[in-house]
Amino acid sequence: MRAGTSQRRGSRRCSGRGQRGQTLILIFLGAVLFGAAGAGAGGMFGGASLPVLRTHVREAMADQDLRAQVDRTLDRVVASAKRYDEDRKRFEADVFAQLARHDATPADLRPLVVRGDELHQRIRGEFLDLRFELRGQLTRAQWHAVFAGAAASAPVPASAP
Amino acid sequence: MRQFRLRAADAVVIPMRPVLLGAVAAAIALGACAGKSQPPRQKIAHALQEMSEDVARQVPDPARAARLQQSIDGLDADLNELQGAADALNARLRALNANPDATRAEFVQLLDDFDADRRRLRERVLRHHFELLGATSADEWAQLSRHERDALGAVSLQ
Repeated sequence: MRAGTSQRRGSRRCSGRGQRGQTLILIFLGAVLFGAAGAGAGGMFGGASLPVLRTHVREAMADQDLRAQVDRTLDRVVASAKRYDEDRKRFEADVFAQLARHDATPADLRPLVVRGDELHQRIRGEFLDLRFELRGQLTRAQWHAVFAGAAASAPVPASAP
Repeated sequence: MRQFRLRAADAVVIPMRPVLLGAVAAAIALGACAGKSQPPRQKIAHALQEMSEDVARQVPDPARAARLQQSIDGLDADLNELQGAADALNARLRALNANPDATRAEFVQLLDDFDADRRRLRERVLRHHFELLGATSADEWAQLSRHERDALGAVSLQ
């Protein structure tokens, strides 16, 4: 049975996967094979959309100054994601240009493999740094409220353990 | 057993690995969604189906067409395996992130494990890529490469 044909014959309903809204870090794995994926960057922050995350932070943190610190970290997350998304697009364009060449050799692709792996490592390191910076700005209870999907409707005291 | 069938009169039929059945069934169950709303596995299947159809239209030599189809099937298996690894990574990362006591070492281990899968699959995909190049003319590849691009670009961490 042919996959494409089967899909065309299949149900017309759409899954919600594509309708989750913008994830906090929209880094696709289009070039994942070559490394420039930022693999897991979205998951490091729970995969929530930025507005939802900010709402959860507002609900979980009563202290405006502390909240402002978290907001600044989230701003840096977004800025990093945008920067790496641009890097990823350039990298992806170079990879696909090589793959489209009929005369390309494995040696032609090797520098791109290395470049992709290096980009991948930089993205990983930077987002891990930001994730743990954010962790340091929230109490355990606040972290639960923001990321465990049970965003507290009432602010969690900043002094909570 | 799932099979890709070429449309040409001299089409060959190549049995697919049974392991792909689950992926195909999942893609079918998810239904047909247009454009960006398509799940990754469905995008992969669609791109490779288009590739198979172009092979049938443009490669008159049945032996070469069969070689190409085998490589397409290999790409299908490897990209679906990669998508499975990405889905698993996504779920595990979200669970780990939700734990305020999670350590950096735990994140690194999780990402390293995924990275090992990614590198292994990259080598296999590149092998299939060069098999495709070896079985096509430059003109034929000019028609087929966009499907490979679509399939590779479909893998996603959502």
